[in-house]
Amino acid sequence: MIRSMSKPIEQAIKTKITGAFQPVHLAVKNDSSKHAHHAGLRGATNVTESHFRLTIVSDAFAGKALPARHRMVYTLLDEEIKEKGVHAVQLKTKTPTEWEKDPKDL
Amino acid sequence: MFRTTVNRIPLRSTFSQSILRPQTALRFLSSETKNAIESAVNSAKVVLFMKGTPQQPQCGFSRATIQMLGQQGVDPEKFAAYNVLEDQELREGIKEYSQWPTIPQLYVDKEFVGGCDIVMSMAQSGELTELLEKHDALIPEEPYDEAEPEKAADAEVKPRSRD
Repeated sequence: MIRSMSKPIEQAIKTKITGAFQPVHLAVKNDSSKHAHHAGLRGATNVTESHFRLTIVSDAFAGKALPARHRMVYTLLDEEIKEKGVHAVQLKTKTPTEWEKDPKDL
Repeated sequence: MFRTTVNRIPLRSTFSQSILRPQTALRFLSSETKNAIESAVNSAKVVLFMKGTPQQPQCGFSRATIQMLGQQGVDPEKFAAYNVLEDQELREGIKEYSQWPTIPQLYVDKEFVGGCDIVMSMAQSGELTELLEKHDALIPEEPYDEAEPEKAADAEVKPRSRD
């Protein structure tokens, strides 16, 4: 089976974010293996694509406070979170200017 | 650290398990649930909706958030934590109420602040301390100020009473 190789949710996240925010930098890390045995995931069908860590650098965040930026991402990934079993999304949301000042990668 | 302030919210209504569309979900937040959440948000200066209790967090993000609040020196008297795992209505309701899909969620003075990442980022930048100071939510720097004069008075009195 090639099933273990496919990453449909990660791919969907990348596609959606690229389309919506046209990021100058995007990193998507899958942390699911670290959380696969957590109590919160007991009985979950999706344990391979449940926890993600995203760094998004985009002009779309300019002039917006952190909660507003995170909400933009959550809204975009609503389906993944509510229906596809994405349990946690860690977010770094920066504008290109902020990124230049503090260019830490993940 | 924090005393156990995991108050149970008296929620009785049946929050239907139907699949709620996010766009219309707010309509399904019953006024009873909304009121219960509002009173929770209003119950202290600093309110954390978390998984587990401050002593026994049930999720790494809740644990990290409670630790940061502890490091900031949040006054336990001005802090309340609600365990969303104890109440399914609260767990779903708070997400709709805050329009925020994940737990933990921090409120300071009735205002939504954010989740773990935001709290962490604000802690690193110093904004969190600023916010908590502004709302007088931190333990006073010299908590023994008032007690010390009494001790001093006792010390003066005692030798005399021994005589």
